[in-house]
Parts: sequence; C-alpha cells; structure tokens
Amino acid sequence: MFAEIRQFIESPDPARFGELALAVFRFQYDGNEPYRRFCQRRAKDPATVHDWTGIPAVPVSAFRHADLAVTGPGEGRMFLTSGTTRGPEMRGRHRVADLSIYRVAALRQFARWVLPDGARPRLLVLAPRFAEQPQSSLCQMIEWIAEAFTGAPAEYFVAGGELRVAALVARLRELEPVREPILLLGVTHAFIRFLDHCQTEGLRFRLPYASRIVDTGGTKGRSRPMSRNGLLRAFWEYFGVPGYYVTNEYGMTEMCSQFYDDAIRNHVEGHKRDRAKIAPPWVRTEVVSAETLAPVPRGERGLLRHLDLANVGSVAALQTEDVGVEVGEGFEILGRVEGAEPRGCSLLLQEFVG
Amino acid sequence: MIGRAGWLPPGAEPREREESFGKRRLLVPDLAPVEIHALLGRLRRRAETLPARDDRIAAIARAALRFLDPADPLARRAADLLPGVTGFSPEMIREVLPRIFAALDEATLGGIVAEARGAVHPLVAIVAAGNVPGVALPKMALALAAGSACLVKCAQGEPVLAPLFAAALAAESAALGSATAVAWWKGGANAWEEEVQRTADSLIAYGSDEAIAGIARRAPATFVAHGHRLSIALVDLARAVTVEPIAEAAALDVTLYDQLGCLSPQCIYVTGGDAAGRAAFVAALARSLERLARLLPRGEAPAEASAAIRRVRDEIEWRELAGEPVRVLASDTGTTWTVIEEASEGFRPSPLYRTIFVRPLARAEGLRAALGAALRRVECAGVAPWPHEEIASALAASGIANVVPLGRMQSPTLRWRQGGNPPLAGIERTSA
Repeated sequence: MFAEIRQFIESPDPARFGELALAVFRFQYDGNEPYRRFCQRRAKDPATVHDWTGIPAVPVSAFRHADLAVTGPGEGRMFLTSGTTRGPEMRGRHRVADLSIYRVAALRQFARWVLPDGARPRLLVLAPRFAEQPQSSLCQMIEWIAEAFTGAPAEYFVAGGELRVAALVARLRELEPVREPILLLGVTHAFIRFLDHCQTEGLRFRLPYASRIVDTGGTKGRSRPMSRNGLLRAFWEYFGVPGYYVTNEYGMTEMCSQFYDDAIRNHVEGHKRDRAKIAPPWVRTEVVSAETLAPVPRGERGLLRHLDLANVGSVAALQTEDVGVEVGEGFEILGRVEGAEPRGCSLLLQEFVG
Repeated sequence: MIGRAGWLPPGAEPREREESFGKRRLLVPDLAPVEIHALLGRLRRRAETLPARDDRIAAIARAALRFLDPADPLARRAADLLPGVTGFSPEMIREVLPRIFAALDEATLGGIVAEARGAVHPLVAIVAAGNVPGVALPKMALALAAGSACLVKCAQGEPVLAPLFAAALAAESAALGSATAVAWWKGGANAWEEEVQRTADSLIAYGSDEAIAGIARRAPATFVAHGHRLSIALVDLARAVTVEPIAEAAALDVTLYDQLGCLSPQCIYVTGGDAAGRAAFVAALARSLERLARLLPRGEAPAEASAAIRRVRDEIEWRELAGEPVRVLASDTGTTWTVIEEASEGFRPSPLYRTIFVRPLARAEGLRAALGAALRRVECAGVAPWPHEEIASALAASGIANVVPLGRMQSPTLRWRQGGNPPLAGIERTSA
C-alpha cells in the first residue's frame, strides 16, 4: 500500500483517487485497531463504503487519545503537536510509519506553490532547527526543504525558544544588496514579533527581487492577532516583499500533506484570481457543517474535512475544527472555531474562570 | 405589522427607529436626552399615584393571565415574534409562555408584598439580557406590585415580552401603565444610562460578568446584579422505584430553553444504586431527550456551539475507545441532544444546547467538593425523588439557595431566591 501511494504522489492520476482512497480505507480498517472500532460504532466498513466521501473521518483531537497508526510497517517516527493551547498533557501524537511518503508529499507541494519558477533562494528560517525539536513535524519539513531546494545551508533564527532578532536584522542588512532572492520561512507569530520590532525600531528592509515569504500557523496566544491582509501589508512595508510573493502554509501534525496559497504560482503563471489554498492531487477537502457534518453549499463557511492519501500509515480521513470556505479551485481558511457568544443566562464554558 | 422592542406610557409620541433583533426587525423608541430625562422624572413621580396594593396586584395578575390564553392577541403576538428574535423553536416558545406568566399569580405576589418590611424605591430600573424569554418579568411584576414605578431595558436577545406585558398592564390599569416604560438601547455610556444613574433609585441588572461590570460603573446607589449562573441536579437511585419518571423530569429540565437558562442543569449527579442502575438511568434519559427533541425541537445552534458539542462527544468517545469507563449517547443526526456519562465526581461546564453530563456521587455531602469552584455559581439544584430530606439538607449546607423537585427547575415561582437574594432585593429599600 505504501509503495502504491508513494507512486501516486510522484505521478498522480486524479481518476484513480477514489479507488485508491477506498483501498487505503480498507488497509487502515484492517490495520488500525482504534480506527476500526471507531468505524464499527458508525456501522461503516469497507464492505459498505463505496465512495471516498463516505469514509469515516476521525476528529483531529482523537490523536490526543489514541495511537492512530496502522500496525505492522514498523515503528516509524512519532510527531507531537505543540500543545500550546491545551497544555502539554493534551499533545496530539501522530506516528508516521513511512517517512519517505511524508517527505515526497511535503516537497512536491512546496516546489509547486513556493518555487514554481524553479528558483533556489537562500533560506532563512524563523523556527527552531530540527535537531532542537525532533518531534516537530514542521521542523522536520523545513529540514527536508532546506536539503532539497537550497544551495547554501539554511540559516536558523530561533533557538532555545527565542527569536534571535538582532542576528536576523544583521543578516537581512547583509543580504539586502546581494542580488539573490531570499526565502523567509517560519511560524507566523515569529514574523509578527519581528515586524513589531521593525516598527518599534523604525527598521525597513528591501529584500532582493523575487524574494518570498512563507508563514505557517496562526497567531493565537503567541503574539498579537493580525489579519491576513494586515500581515501582507506589513510584509510589503517592512521587507519590500509584495503580496504575490507571500504564501501561507496550512498544515497540521496529524496530516502528512500541506496546503499553500496559490499566490506565488498565480503570479508566476500570470493568473489574476483571489488567493486560495489548493489541495494536491492526493488530497480531497470538503467543507462541512459543524452541526450535521454534511457538506455545506459552495460559498458557505464550515469545518474543513480532509482525505489525505499521504496519511496511509495512520488515518486518511480527518475532521478538523478549522473553519474555511470554498474559493475558486480550493478553499480559504478563516481560522479555528471559537467559543460561542453566550446567548442565554447560563454560564458558558469560556466564561468559566473558576 | 412590525413589532416593537419598547413600550412608553401614554402621552409621549416618540420617534421610533428600526433595529435588528435576531432574524426580525423591530421598532425601538428613539428619544432625545431631554425626553429621556422627562420620561424618567415622570415615571418616578407616578409611583405616588399607583392604585391601592390589592388593586394593582389584581391588575398585574390579570395582565399575566392574558398570556395563558393562546388566542389572546398579545399572546399571539408573543408567539409570532419570539422564535425569530430568540432563535428558539415555535414549539418551545408555545411551551414556555404559559410557564413564564403562570408564575405571576395574585396569591404569590400578594404574599411577597405583604411580607415587605419597609418602603420601596420609587423608580426601579431593570436591565435584562440574553435570549431566554421573560427574564425581566418577575422583577417587573414584583416592583409594580410593591409600589415602585419601573423602567425596563429589554434584552437584545429577547425584546418582546416586556413591552407586551407593559401593554397588557396598561390595558388593565391605566395608572399601572403610566408607571411603566420599556426601552432598548445599545449598552455603554449614553443618555439612557446617565439618566438611569441620575434618576432611578435602584438598578437590577442581568448579564455576563463583563456586561455587569460595565453597567456597575454607571449604576445608582442600589445595584443588584444577576450574572450568569448554572444549575445542577441530584438523583438518588437508591430511593427510586423506577428510573423512567426521573429521567423524564431531568430531560424536561435540560430541554426547556435548550439548556440556555441559568436554571438549566449542566450536570446530573447520581447517588445510590450501582453502575448498572446508572447505566439504566442514562439510557432512559437519552430516550426522554430524543422524545422531547421531537416534541420541542431545538433552536438553531451557532456553529461554535455545535463544534463545542462535537469536541466533547469526540473526546468522550475516544476516551471510551481507550478503555475508560465513560460513555456518550447522542442524537443520530446533528448535535440535538447529548448525554455524557462520566466516571468521576467533579464538574466541567457543558457546551449547552441539550448536552448533559451524568456523574456518580458517592454521598450527597460530597457535592461541595465535586463542584469545587463552580459551587459559588450554582443557582438551583433539582432533586429526585422528591421530597428528600437528606439531600435537601446537604444542598442547603453547601449554600445552594434554590432546591426544587427535578422537572420543576424551569418553573420558578416568584419566591425564587435569584442569586441567593430575597425576591424584593433591589425593590425594597431595606433589602439593598
């Protein structure tokens, strides 16, 4: 099964997606015991599911409670979620049996959406080194990207949990006059922290032509919130990088595939359209109602549900709490679903402060 | 005909403007600061010209009675407007309207007012909040019965019943009507709030902690706040002959107002009996919730609430799959109702919209420890079987002010000690 999926990712044939998805479902139903029991409670099994949309989707939060991996193909590698919002004891665990599939999925998406022009920019990373956080799927991915796409060694500006602001300022000043594009890649809240520093200190950079920025993750709880448009404006103002060279990555520890805005690719190919996140050929994404879990009409917001064939070693069908809406050929992320406003007079979850 | 989120005593011909409330647009009085000043001054003086006590109590009770008749034009108006404004289903609104108004009865009003020890505040202001229908009505009725004039700010989530009740009062007694005003304004520093602070003698406010804190900054000297509260239930299976009627009563208290009221139980503690007994109770509770979901359909839940319910369901299911003795029973489709059987004592808040936790409790005396920090937020405890001396005394000892039979939690009488306060708190001068 692993070889088949790897081959599909390397040379996808969209017509075969449904058939492969059902094969992966059978494989996971047989080999992943907690997932099988989850399906049995819903009276779903490979004999009764005939369409990929009917494959039971596991809530992403389940990775906090169970080892959702197919047994047999070896230990693989365990990745942990950061657990920043719910405390360390609630970290999700995703065991990836075959790292080569994860790697090829990550690299193909990155090449397609960040480097569609074949550029090989110098990589400056606003995230820790993989060696410092070997359980972080993001750090693993960045290391793969650094190995695969850049001539010079990647330079890291987060260490010991701290953004090395002065070092990054100094390095950007050095690289400004060098006529080679730079790729700034990092977590969104680190960018916001650096932008705040630039604002306070009155710093402005003009990065070389075709430099680009990839930010990932949200800002919640780690820095002040910033809208996507506010961030794009700030990237232009402080780095001189226009919005069409900025893309936001959306991914999660529980899922081996990532999504990127199509902005850079649209620019390179001369398309004018709203930015959207486009699923790779080995992923299908649906927008579903939080109330019924049924797909919502196009254009309505709902929760994102993914079927990711690269997750062949764990669970392919994932129900997230990310709110999104279909846009163009893909979707846009509107954030995480938050607590409801109190409507009645009963004390609500989020009002409960003890 | 467009509805009104306001009612002003005869004499004024105010401008009105349209505002959105839920899915409806309603007219609200649009008064200039000088008019607000004049209105409140006039109201305050009307307290002196109210009818005699027995006459005004009889008139208030007659006005309330009109809403028990579904054919009455005012009751029809309420039933027509409330679903769109509040988000509750029409069936729910029809079910709760008589419960709200039946409580405003002559005997209880008379009894409470007769027990009043001192003078009353001439002008009592009431700021309502939330979408639970009729939150302000008991205080409105008690204030007028006790001899105060009354200004009500109706809630953004339910601006319908207070104006209709004021209209009914005016129809029964012109003098009562002229001592009553209902308005709506956006919370925050404005002419209304300044004038309430300057002219009203007392303010009774409902709302979230945050809203209450904002109102408190501009309140008159006498200020009674009713923040968001929660309720619980206690069931003694050792005393129960069968679980069905108890489950039915519990399901009704969970279902009414879609569990959004401060009298809605968020957790049912089960003492006595064994695990099998608890399981039977949980199963019966699930059946009752399903039956009630068909009779009294749930209103639409916001996506955030649906997601919060799913989050809890998912967590419990995966903990069960991991071998913990927990269980979730839930509606087949949607998040209409959910029963969560937890294995431990303790408390966690429910995401509401008919999501009820069931927890074991070794002894009723252990409730204080089980609730922990939530104890000071408990408004009411429902108990079954009823009466139950030991549980009632254990609950009283833990400081819970309202203990009622399960199944009656959502039908408070006027003697309800809201927030632990006596019924005339904020109305009687001595009870400030």
